[in-house]
Amino acid sequence: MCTVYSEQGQDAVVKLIEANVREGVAFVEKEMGKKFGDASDPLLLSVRSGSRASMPGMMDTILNLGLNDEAVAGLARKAGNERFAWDSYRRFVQMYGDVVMGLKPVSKQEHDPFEVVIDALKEKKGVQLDTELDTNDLKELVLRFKGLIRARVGREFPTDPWEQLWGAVMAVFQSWNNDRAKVYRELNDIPDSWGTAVNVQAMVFGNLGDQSGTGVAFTRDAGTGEDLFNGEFLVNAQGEDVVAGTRTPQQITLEGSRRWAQLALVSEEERRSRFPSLEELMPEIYQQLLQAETTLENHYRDMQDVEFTIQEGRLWMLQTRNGKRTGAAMVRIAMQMLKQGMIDEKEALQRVDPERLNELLHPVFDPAAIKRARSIAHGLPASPGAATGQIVFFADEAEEWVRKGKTVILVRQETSPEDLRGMSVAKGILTARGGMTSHAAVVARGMGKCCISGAGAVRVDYHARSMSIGDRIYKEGDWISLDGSTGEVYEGQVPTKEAELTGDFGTLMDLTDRYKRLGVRANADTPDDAKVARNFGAKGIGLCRTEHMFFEGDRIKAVREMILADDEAGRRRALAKLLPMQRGDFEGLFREMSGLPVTIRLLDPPLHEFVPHDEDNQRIMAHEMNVPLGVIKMRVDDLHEFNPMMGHRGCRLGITYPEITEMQTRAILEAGLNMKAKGFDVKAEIMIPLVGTVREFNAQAKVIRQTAAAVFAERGEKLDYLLGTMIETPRAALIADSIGGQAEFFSFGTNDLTQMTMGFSRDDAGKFLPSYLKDGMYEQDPFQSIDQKGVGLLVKMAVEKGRSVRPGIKLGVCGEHGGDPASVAFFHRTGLDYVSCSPFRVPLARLAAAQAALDDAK
Amino acid sequence: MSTETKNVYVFGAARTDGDATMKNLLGGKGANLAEMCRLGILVPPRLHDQHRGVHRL
Repeated sequence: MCTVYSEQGQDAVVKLIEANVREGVAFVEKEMGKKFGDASDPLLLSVRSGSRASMPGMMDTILNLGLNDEAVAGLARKAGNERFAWDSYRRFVQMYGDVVMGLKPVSKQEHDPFEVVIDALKEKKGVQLDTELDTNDLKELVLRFKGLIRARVGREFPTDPWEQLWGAVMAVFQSWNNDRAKVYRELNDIPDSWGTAVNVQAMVFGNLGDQSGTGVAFTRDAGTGEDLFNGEFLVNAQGEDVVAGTRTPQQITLEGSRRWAQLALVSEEERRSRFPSLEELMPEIYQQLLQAETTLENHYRDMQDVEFTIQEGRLWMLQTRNGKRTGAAMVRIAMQMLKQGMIDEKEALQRVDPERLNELLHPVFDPAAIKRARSIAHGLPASPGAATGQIVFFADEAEEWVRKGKTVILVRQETSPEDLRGMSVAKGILTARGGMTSHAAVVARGMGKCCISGAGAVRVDYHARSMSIGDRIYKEGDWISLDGSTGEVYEGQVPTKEAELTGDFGTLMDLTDRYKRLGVRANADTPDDAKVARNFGAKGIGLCRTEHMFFEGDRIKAVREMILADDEAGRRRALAKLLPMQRGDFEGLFREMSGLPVTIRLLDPPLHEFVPHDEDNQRIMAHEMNVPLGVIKMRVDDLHEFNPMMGHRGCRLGITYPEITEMQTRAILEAGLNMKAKGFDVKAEIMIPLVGTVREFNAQAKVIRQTAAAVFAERGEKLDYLLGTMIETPRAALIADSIGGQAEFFSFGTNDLTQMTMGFSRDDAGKFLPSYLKDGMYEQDPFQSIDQKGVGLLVKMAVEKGRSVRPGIKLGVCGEHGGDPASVAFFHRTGLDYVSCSPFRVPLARLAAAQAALDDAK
Repeated sequence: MSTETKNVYVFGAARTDGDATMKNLLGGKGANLAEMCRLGILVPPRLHDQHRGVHRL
């Protein structure tokens, strides 16, 4: 649409859709019993976009369309309220001028130009609030707004209702392609090709006095998932007043109102008199709303987010949709609806987006630390989670800071759609204004980001780049901590601790085991990782990277000694020092994973990763090892490779230095025997990396089997173990039948397999991949989600070839793809036995595996 | 009229084109509004231009 708009202009589009729009407007006129453009009793319209996905705050909505100098008089007469008519007109000119005619602030420091005009008039009149402006003031504002538009835009404000309508329709189409909409689509994987439609709807008014109002409600709690009808409304207001956070909204239910009062430190007396609930204020309307929300939730069998307007005692529903919610709420709502018999187990599993489980695994504040922390302000618990970071006041600067490796909390008076990027990179969001349904709150919940809104004590000074709370001033860069579950703001950094699988989350995870076929293991290099993984339900370790153990403490010295050694004897001396350390590591892994398989990969990275490349550190190394700097430099130069990814690494190391393989095998098996003796059930799997030929595999297998025989002879005891290989070079996949004749298991190293099949390295892809993704050259980052049509084909082929020679061969995947839902589904369909991913992605992989199995059954 | 070729949808108390299943066509909001009309919930009347012709350009 926008393409047409920009290439052929408004006339072409109008010509195409004119008949349709006129037909539709005629219908609306008939329904409302009013005429569009009738100055004596005008039908007013709202114009908004209607795209397939809900995009909050994204598309600009025009309200009160159809008003002009004549119609405003007609509206005033009809409503018997001149001020209301002029206020609607004022709002319309302001919104239309901004959204359609493009009169916006030119810099981030500049205030909204319309608000500047309003403020100037208020100052002249000596009043504080918009509501204190009288009809003549509003007339004056309309006049000034029009003048402002004329001066800054160079065009007259359109007076003809149809001209207004066409302009608004164009703006809707155009907004599909504005920056913030693009960002949202990028973040949420919404294809550009969907485009948007335009909706034109009769206006109803929430600002016709005390018996009117407007609000937003959720059938359940969007933050916690609690089955509690809740929401906010404002008396005598239009919808944007609620979202903008410029007035303190009231709660819909009495229960919610009391809870709110407690959080907002408002006394029951003040609550009742100044902020009564809808339930108390308009009981009949409340009953209708309750009935509608029950009908809607039962009908959709999901939590609904509804918008409504009360016009002079009559309730109109403006919207219903499946409500955005936090990951925690997603899990709780699914499990509760299961208990309530609204959905079955399969649907409960399908209701949860695996990616959102991340949020439940986020750390929470350490309860002991929280007790000591100094609480400085209190706001609404808009989106749960714990966040610590440095204060930043502008969204674009939040991005900059994060690029520099800092963690930030975005502090704003209130947020707007322009702040989206900054919000998505910040650890948490704090706003001084706005309710539970303000922009910041809704967007943060959608992102699963910690957010506190409406912290009234916070005064933000954008110019000074500081915020004050009472007499304390916090500057940009100062540390604060937010608890999005309680609304508490703390000074400084508060330490966090790991989350656990409990309650509904635990039940959901148990449910996955009932439906999934694919096993889930974890990539874990340390006993701690293994413990976390097991707590999250990992059924073994699919990848232990032994090299990570080489960097710890003093070990790097022994590793470097081995690298510097001139001959085998020297290398063996150094390796002998490493043996007990590695053995200790493996003992810890076998202990934590007793009864479950532990796959240990032999040394994989090129040796130069273990030596320093800058002179300062080389000097330190020379000193520590008591060798001349020149010797170190020479060895580092020797190790230099033009393309390390395809260099001297993987089994190529073990083949040139079999003593490394020997030492590692010995460490694994001795550790296994030691732990077996202590009563642990050890299931060791030794994995050879980067194999490309059968001879490579056989050569390493020979070293491993000989070492094993020696160890078993020495100890007079045997340990069962499996000997397998990574399939990570395209050649290994191509000859998987030959390799499968020898190897007892395959583990697909899809990171390397992707690099080598695609022909680009993950480390260098950053230079072109982002623009590739933007241009649609690739639909997805192949390192994030497996390239099913290419790399996936190799996996499929190797699976078939492997099974053809060894029907029971164990097949798994280790690498980032094991924690990507789409890839997990692919591996399920390809018939692998398990995926292995980082410990924190284990719950996600379990759910994704269950969903994949359910998709199969469909 | 076949829904495939229809360009404009309206709904209100008197007539409701579409329902909640037509999200791809009416947008999530539009489809749900149509569904609410079907459930007898009062919704301000609306027209939806779905600009199929424009996409063909």
